[in-house]
Amino acid sequence: MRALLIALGAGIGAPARYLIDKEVKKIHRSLIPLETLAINTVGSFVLGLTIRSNGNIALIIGTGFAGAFTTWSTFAVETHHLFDHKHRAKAWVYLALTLILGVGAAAIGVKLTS
Amino acid sequence: MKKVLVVSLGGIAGSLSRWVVSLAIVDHGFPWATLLVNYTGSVLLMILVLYSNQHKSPKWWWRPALGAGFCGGFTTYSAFSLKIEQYFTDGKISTAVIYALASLVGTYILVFATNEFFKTKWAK
Repeated sequence: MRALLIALGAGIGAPARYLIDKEVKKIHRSLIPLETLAINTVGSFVLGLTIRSNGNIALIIGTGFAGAFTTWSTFAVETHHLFDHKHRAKAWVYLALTLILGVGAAAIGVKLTS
Repeated sequence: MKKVLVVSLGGIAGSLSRWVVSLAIVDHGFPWATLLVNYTGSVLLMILVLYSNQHKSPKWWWRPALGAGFCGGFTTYSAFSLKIEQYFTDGKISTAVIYALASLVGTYILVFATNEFFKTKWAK
């Protein structure tokens, strides 16, 4: 049962990330991957909102949706790519923005539910 | 549209795997499970990217299923950011810094080493 709830959220979260990533790249391509940045920020906010939710909502929206929507692996590979191609300043900016916006968005999500 | 479905299935498999890891690992107050999935998923995605840069994809569904799907669903940023936020709220600043550094530096070293290893191995 718990697995089904996670699958439900993840089945929406992962393709939502994929589609946003594809559509943003069609309109706007920048060295700093703004689409991943936006996805991880919004997903952190959503997870923050679920912190006081009951078990089922936490599984669908938190572990499932927000877990699958946000991504660490893409963030890691993109940051490495920037460093590897000598875009060091952009790599640090991407890293800092991801941390500040992500943690900030999670904090706002938590605040809104308390 | 077919690709979106494949990403969805890969994402479900990845997220369920992440959940299984979180059940299997007793964290003793430190997010070891998240750290582990983020390490392994990042290495896996790096291998995938390097492989598909150098090889023809064996099947059309292969890259979206494993990359955006599995690796994306398996690894997670939101659990990381919320945990850091909670450490800050609880005044556990040093734990927050240790967790952030372990996640960022550890992942970077692993991804860097993976790139160094496979880029020469698969160089054309």
